[in-house]
Formats: sequence, C-alpha cells, structure tokens
Amino acid sequence: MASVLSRPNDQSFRRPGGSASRYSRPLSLALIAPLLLLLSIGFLYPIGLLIKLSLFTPELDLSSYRKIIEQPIYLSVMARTFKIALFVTIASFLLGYPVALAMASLKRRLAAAAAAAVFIALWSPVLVRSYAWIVLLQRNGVANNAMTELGMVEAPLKLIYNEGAVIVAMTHVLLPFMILPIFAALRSIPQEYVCAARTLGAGASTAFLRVTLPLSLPGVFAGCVMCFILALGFYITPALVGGPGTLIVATLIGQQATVLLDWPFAAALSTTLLIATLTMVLVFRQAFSISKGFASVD
Amino acid sequence: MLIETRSHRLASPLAGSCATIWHRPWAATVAVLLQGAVLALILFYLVLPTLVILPISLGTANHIEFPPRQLTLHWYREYLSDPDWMAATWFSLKIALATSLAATVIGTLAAIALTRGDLPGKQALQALSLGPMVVPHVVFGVALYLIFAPLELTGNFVGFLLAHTVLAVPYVLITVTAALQRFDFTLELAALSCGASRTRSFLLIVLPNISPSVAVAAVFAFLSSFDEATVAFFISDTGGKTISRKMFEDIDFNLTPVIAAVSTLLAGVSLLLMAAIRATTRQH
Amino acid sequence: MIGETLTLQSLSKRFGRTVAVEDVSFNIAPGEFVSVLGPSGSGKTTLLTMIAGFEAPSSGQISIGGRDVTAAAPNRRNIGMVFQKYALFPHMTVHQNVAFPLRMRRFDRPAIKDRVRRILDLVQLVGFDDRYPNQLSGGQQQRVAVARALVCEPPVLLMDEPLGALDKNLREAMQLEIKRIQSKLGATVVYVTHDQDEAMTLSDRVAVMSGGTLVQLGSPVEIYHRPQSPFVAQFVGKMNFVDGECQRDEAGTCHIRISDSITVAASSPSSDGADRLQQGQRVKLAVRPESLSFAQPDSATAIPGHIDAEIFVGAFRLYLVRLATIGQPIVQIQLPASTSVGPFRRGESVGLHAAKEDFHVFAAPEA
Repeated sequence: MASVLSRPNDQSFRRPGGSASRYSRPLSLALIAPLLLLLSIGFLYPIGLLIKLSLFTPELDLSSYRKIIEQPIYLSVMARTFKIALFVTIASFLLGYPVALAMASLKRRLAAAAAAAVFIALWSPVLVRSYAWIVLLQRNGVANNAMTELGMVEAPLKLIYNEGAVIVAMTHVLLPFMILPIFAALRSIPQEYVCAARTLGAGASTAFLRVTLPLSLPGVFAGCVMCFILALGFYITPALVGGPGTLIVATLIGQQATVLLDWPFAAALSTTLLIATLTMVLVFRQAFSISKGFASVD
Repeated sequence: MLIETRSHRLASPLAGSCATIWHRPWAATVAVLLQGAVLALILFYLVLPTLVILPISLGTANHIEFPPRQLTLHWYREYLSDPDWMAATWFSLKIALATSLAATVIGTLAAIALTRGDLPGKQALQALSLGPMVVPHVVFGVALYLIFAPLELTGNFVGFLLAHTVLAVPYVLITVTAALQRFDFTLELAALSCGASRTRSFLLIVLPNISPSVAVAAVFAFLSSFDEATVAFFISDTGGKTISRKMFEDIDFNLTPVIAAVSTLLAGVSLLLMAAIRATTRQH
Repeated sequence: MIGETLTLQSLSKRFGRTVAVEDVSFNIAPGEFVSVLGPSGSGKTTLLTMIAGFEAPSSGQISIGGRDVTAAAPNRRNIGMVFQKYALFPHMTVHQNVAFPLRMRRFDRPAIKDRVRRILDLVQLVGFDDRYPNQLSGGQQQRVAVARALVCEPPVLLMDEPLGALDKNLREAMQLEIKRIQSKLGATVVYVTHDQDEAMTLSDRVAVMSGGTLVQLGSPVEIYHRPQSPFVAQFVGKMNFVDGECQRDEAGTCHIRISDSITVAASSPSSDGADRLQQGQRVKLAVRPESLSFAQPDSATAIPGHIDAEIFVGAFRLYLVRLATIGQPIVQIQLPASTSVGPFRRGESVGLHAAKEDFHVFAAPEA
C-alpha cells in the first residue's frame, strides 16, 4: 500500500482549496472543448457570416435594411408575421388551458387520455402534420368531401393556402408547448388550496377563478412566450399550408434565398428575425426556467 | 369517451379533486356535458392530423380518398421500390445515426463539465450551448447554405452531420444535465476513497448510473435529426437529400398517397421511440 | 492490528471569507477511536473531508503513519470511509460493492473472494452477496458500507454520521456492532457525529468542535465531568446554569454568591480557571441535573426554590424547580424513579443541594 501512497498526485488536489467534488479546470476545459469547437464552426461562424453579409457588400451597406422599412410590402409581411404569431398564441391558450386542466385534475383514465392526445401531437413530425392538414383541408380533401357529402356545402370551400389554414396548422404544432407549462403549473398547486376555498364558501367556478387560475398564471406566461417566439420563426408549416397571400418573415427569407437569390436581403431579414427572437428570449428569459426541458420544434 | 352520464359527481375539469356536491343535478349535468364536449373536440383536433394519414396511406385511389373504400399496401410497396425514396431514407438514417452518436458524446462530455467542472463564465457557456434551440431554424438553414454552397457541402453527409449535431446537442445537454443533477455525487467520492482514480470512478460509477438518460438523449438526438425539415430544406441538393426534404418537394409538386405512407412510417418511428422512452423512464 | 497514527497539524479550511475549520491539531494513536462531536456548522464534516482528501486544506498538514498525505489524492490515501447515507453503488451487488476497493488495488480473483467472504462474515452478512443495495434494510446497508470501507484494512477509517439514517433501536445495536468490529480489527477511527450519546458510547476520546475550532479533546469521562467551557458543558449532557458572583474568603477560596442570602462553595478542578476569577466577577455556575438533590429549604448550603413541575421519564424523575431568587432560570433535577410516587408535589418549597465538586464555575461572558 505504501507504493500506492507514494505515487505522484493529481494536480487538482495539490492546489490549496482544491476539491474532489469538482473537476479541475484543465479537465473541464478539455471536456467542453468539443462542444465549443462544434458551436464555433457549425453555429457561430455561419450566423456571424450571415449578419456580416447583411451589413457589408463588401463596404458597409444598409440598403437591405432600408428596403425592409421603406417598402410597404415588406412592412406588411412583418405585420402579418406578428399578427399570426399573436393569433396562434391566443388560440393555443384558449385550446390549451382546458386540456392542461383536464390532465391535471381529471380522474386517472381521462387525464391519461388527454395526455396521450398531447403526446401524439407533440411527437408527430411537424412535416407529417403539415402534410396531414393539406390532406384534410385541400379542395378535394377530407373536410370538403365530408361537407359535400353531408350536403352542408354545394361546392368545395377554399380552406387551404390562406391565413386561416396557417393559423389552424401552426396552432396545432404549438399547442403542446402551451399545454405542458400550464400543466406543470397546475399540477404544482396543492389540491388543498381548492378544497380550502370550497370549504370557505367558494363555488366551483369561484374557486377556479380566484385560486386555480391565478396560481397557474406563471405556466400560462411561459406557454405564451414559448408559443409566440416559436411562431415568429416558423418555416415548414406556413411554407406548405400557406399561399402567396400569407407570406411571413420566415417564408419570405426562404423565397429570397432560394427563388430570388437576393442573399443580402435574405440575410438582413434573417438578422432582423434573429434579433427579434433573441430580444424576446432575453426579455422573457424567466419564462424559460419554468418550461425548461421542453423540446423545440420546426 | 370522456363523459360518464349517470352519476352526478361527474368528472368536471373545473371541480378539481374535491368532490363537488351540485345542488341542481340536471344543470350540473349539462355543464359537465358541455365541458366534456369542448374537451373532446380539442383532443380530436390534437390527434386528427396524425390519425388521418394512416387510412389515406392504405387507400387504393390515386388521389386522396377518405375513408378508403378498399385497403391496400400498394403505396408502401411503391415507396420501398422507388430508388429516390430509398436513397433519401438511407441518407436520413445515416445522418441521424451519426448525429446521434456525435451529439451524445459531445453533449455528455459538455454536460459533465458544466455541472461538475471548474469553468470560467459557466452561465455564458450554458446560454451559448442552448443557442441552437433558440435561433429560428430558417435563419440557421440560410446561414448554413451560405457557407456550404461555396464549399460544395450542400447535399453532403458531413455538412448535414455538422448542422444536425449543432441542433441535437442542446437536447443531449438538457437530458444528461438533469441526470447528472439527480446523481448523488457522494458515490463518486466513495469510489475515490475506495482507491478508484478519477477516470475509473467515472467509468465504473458515474456512467452506469447516468447511462439510461444518455440513451434517452441519444434517441432524442436521433429523432431531432431524422425529423428535421427546415435546415434540411436549405442544405439539401439533388445529389443528397433527406427524407424530409424529399417529402417537402413531393408535397409541393406531386401529392400522391406515397407521401401518406412515408408520413405514417415517420410518425410511427417517432411515436414508438418516444413511447418506449416514456415506458422505460417511468420504471425508474 | 491495522491502525496507524493520524496526525493533524494546524489544519485550517476557508471557503472564500468564511472559515470552516481553524487551526485544528491533534494526534490519534493507532487503534484509537476518536469521535468528532459538534453541532451542525461546527466544521466537523469539513475536517473529515480534508482527512479523506475530498477538500484540500487551506493550511496545515495531515499525516498518516508518519507520512505526509496533505497533497495526496483521495484514492492515494488508502483511507476507508463510511458515508452518511452509505453511498453504496446502486448498480452493484453487495459482493461487487465490497470487492470494489480490492479491484481498484488490483488484487487477484481468489484474494478478492477470500477477503470479501471474511469481511462479510465479520459484519454478519454472509449470504447477502448477490443482493442489490435497494434490497437491503438500512442496518444491512450500513454493514455493507462498513465492510466496503474496511475490506482493504485501511490504516484509518473515517465515518461521517454513519448511523444518522437509522431509527433509535437499530442505531444503538449498530453502535455496539461498530465498536465490536473496530476493536477486533484494531482500526484507527475518526467518527463524526452530532449525537453526544453515540460519541460517549463509542469513543476512546471525544473531540468537541464549535465554530470551526477544537474546543476540547478528552476521554468521555473528562468531557462529561470536567468540561472546560460552558459550550462543552451544555452540549454534552444536560446542564443547569445559574448566574452568580465570585466572592473570595480570607483563605482565597472562591465562593459563588447567587443572591444576597445564598452562597455556595464550588471546588470542581475542571472548571475553566476558577482560581483566576477576580473578587466580584460575574460567573456562570453549572451543575448537572443528576448531581442535584433535595435538601431542607432553610438549610444554609441549599438553594431555595419551589417545584414547578414533576415529569416521569421512565429511568428517572425530572423536577423543574423555580429558584426563589428573581431572574434565575428554572433548574432541572433528576432523581431515580424508584418509587411510584415522587417525594415532592408541585408548588412545594424545596432546597437544592450538590456536592461542591459537582459545581462548575465559568467566567460569565462579557455583556
């Protein structure tokens, strides 16, 4: 055993104040180095280049940004992006809250059924769901066929490639991101609070409005922030379900980059979207601590 | 499916778990029925798109037919015999497996450093490492196209691996960090006091205890790559495209029930893998 | 005999500005069982983690068997450690847990098998080899932890409140068990606890810590009967404190005046510098409940009071006595509960008496 003791020592323990419960700095840096390398090459560099392209051609040139502000068509795209994100967030809240409430307070089996529905929606690929909405809503799609056969309409309705379809399909994608934080908040409310309110004379709806709803607001806040931020940058669903009249920032970026090949302009639009998203994340970062761990989509 | 009709103590979402005594039974019943109906409609909306693709993929008609008059596996055979679809599928699988491996290794090492290490500016590093989750994918996709195009990395395995690993790493970080935070680190001290070196105590004690979460992280990473569509849209080309990109094109130009078959398979893979994860993590 | 000497020299540990351990020195003989006793936050666990090598000391030196191990990594110290919640490896069986230190030291298979069998025999866990920790009771897990710590016959065994998670009866049984195993192997043990009974039961010597410093080191008898500070006096066992004032007689002996009419003689040699007390200095007079007895209330040497409450505690009967002097605290007296009815009733006037060597005198802290 003496030979064991006399062997050279680990650097981290020799330093005064060193501790075995932490890995030494050189080791920690070695462990995180691959990630930093990956993010530098695969994330920071391309994004940085994109921002540079939006500003320099090759001299400082703000014309792309000026284009966004000066041409009414692009301003209206911005406004539409914002409006759709807002509508989707509101719709997600209105549809999501009852589901979260059901998951948190119904009897086991019913709650499990609600949770299963959310699970299926959350983990079906976004592209698959966008396709499904096309199938459902197109001219000779499931919805139109059903309505025609039932005699509800004479001729098929135009249900797709419009703002309504985009909102319906996007809400479907973002609904789980509203439900889960609200559910987490509701589940953390001790059931005694509601019971206490009832024994103190509150009716079921009063107890809900005065106790449950206020206590679940942090979850609502987190869900709304998540939905809104994700909705701002959404690409796949609006690209497939939307039409020429529903251009939003993300689809405009795609169009400029792949069809019109106006790269500086696509870069300027991307930078604008990036700044808007990052600003929202920074302003509302406390919301993310509540909903930490949820997967992102799109 | 959601409504029991006889008892007065019906499951009402508003009632919570306190047994509610209703003074006007029939009014109460109506209220509960109404709440139940609204809930059932929302749940129907949630599952509808996923459920609608299966019957369509089994229909015989060339166009969308719902419900199908006759069932066939024709469109699945079509998918399996189409070289374009097969090429895209293998390309996606290859990328997803490699991404899963790369992201799991890189993310796990980083999670250890971030939870247990002595690092300067830890919070900034944490924020940076979750960055790919926050940046809109369309922005990331365009940015990647910008550097890949001149290097001829579009439609390239390495390019996809880089892009998808960046996107998958945050999932691994979050999952493994949570496991490391749950792990009782006195076990590692115990291993040290038993004479184990740092490396051995990590391999023999820490790793076996966090390995279920590392496996879950690997599945997350796999799915995040396999289902990824936005970035794939920008960095694919005719030489190399993922199954998502191929689907995207066909939806836009050639809407056949083959897409329904592919969709069903994609959704099936995702849902089965996630259900398996849920079932195994519940046991622990 | 496997134990070796453990020497701590002016050991200190600072975390930032807070001082967790300050200038602790002591020497533990081979095979000696020393408890480190103190309230939470007294620095006892930090002291142990430094000996184990989990935290490097800010200054000072640790040596085992004469070798300086201050800078050695924990895995190079050859120390056995039993953790508060056992820290058994959940993914390994009892056998694998106990064999782990042997594997790390590259013992060959037959030697591992033999050693594990012997140590499991010693802790009376033969036949539990293939169980996992979560299939064992708390007491059994405890034994596995002890076996794992001792299987390499380390020169020093550290135990960090190892019985804290067990219920009272099991705890007492395990105390005897630990003592048996330790004396059989002759291990040098440092045992951290906040439980004074445990420290008294197990130890050859007790090190009492408070606020990061070692306040007294001595045998259980010394610690109990000759506390060197009010802290040790009240932390170990029960202690009554009464305020008084030192009054010297012609011969220079210090008497403690409690009130205008009551003065008691105190001659306990342990008390912290009773000789050095000044005439008229404020003091704390300390006396254990079991040292007090009842006397006639008008007796000259008795402290008068009346009984506030009588509590039957099983092994003894506890009386709470309110002293006649205003401003003095309620005093506890412990009498054997030999009779079904106590000799005194509530409200009755009594006098309290104790032998003068049972009174401890401490200088009152500056106001």
